[in-house]
Parts: sequence; structure tokens; C-alpha cells
Amino acid sequence: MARLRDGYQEFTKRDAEILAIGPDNLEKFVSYWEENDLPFPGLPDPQKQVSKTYKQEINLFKLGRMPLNTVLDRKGHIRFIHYGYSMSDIPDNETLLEVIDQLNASSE
Amino acid sequence: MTKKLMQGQHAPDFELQDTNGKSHRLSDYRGQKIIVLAFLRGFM
Repeated sequence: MARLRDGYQEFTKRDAEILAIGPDNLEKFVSYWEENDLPFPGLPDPQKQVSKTYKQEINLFKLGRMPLNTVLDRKGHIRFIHYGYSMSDIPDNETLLEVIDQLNASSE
Repeated sequence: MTKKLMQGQHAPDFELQDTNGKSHRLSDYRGQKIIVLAFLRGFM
């Protein structure tokens, strides 16, 4: 999250928006967003409906949800998707920005 | 086990409210922005 925050300008520069979705409730989201000064929308999904729809994985041994990151083009198609196999298995900004650059380069 | 989503698929639509109470519907971004969705683990 800190990584996305620090790189946020690189995303907005490329006409991309970041939406962060999590299982915590609104209250926890609000305090986390304030504490960490996150510039993009944080979307609490306490019913986990969206998480389920996107098949975010839950690993009981690793005590929690596995990270899931995806890039969507302007038509709403998935152009990159990464299901993390561990808590820290999150694509770096460069990987995401590269996908975005390719989308911007191709005439959509 | 549930089948994962794959590249090339249409991203399922959703609508959620952000920390400021503003509603975000994914399909509203269509034709407007490239979207990065980050599904979090949950705050510890």
C-alpha cells in the first residue's frame, strides 16, 4: 500500500486510477487511510462480495487473504491479474506501470 | 476449488463506497480510466 501511495503520481500521470478493496469495515478503513495518508479511494468490502466475485484466495495456513492485483483496460477487460501466493507476493509498481504503458500505447 | 479470473476476461462490475462515502461503480470508469484493483489482505 505504501508502494502504491509513493508511486501514485506515476499512475495518475498515465490516466490510471487505483481502487483498493479490503475486508475490513468502514471504521477501520477510515483510520487506516488517515494514518497512512493514502491518496486513492479505499473501498471497504466487509461482506466480501467483491472479493468473492474476484476469487481472492484465502489461505488458512497463512492466516488470511492473499493479495490480488489486477489492471483493467478502459473497456473493463482484465489485462493483468496476479493472485499472490503469499502475503508479500504483490507485483511491484514497475510491473503494473508497464502494463498501463502498453495499454496507453495501443490504440484502444 | 473456485476458478480464478483470467486475463482477457471482462472484469465483473461492482459498486462500493469509499472512506468518504463516495460511491464507486466500476462500470462508471469505462471509457474513462485504466483501473488498478488492489485487493488487500486486511489490516492487522
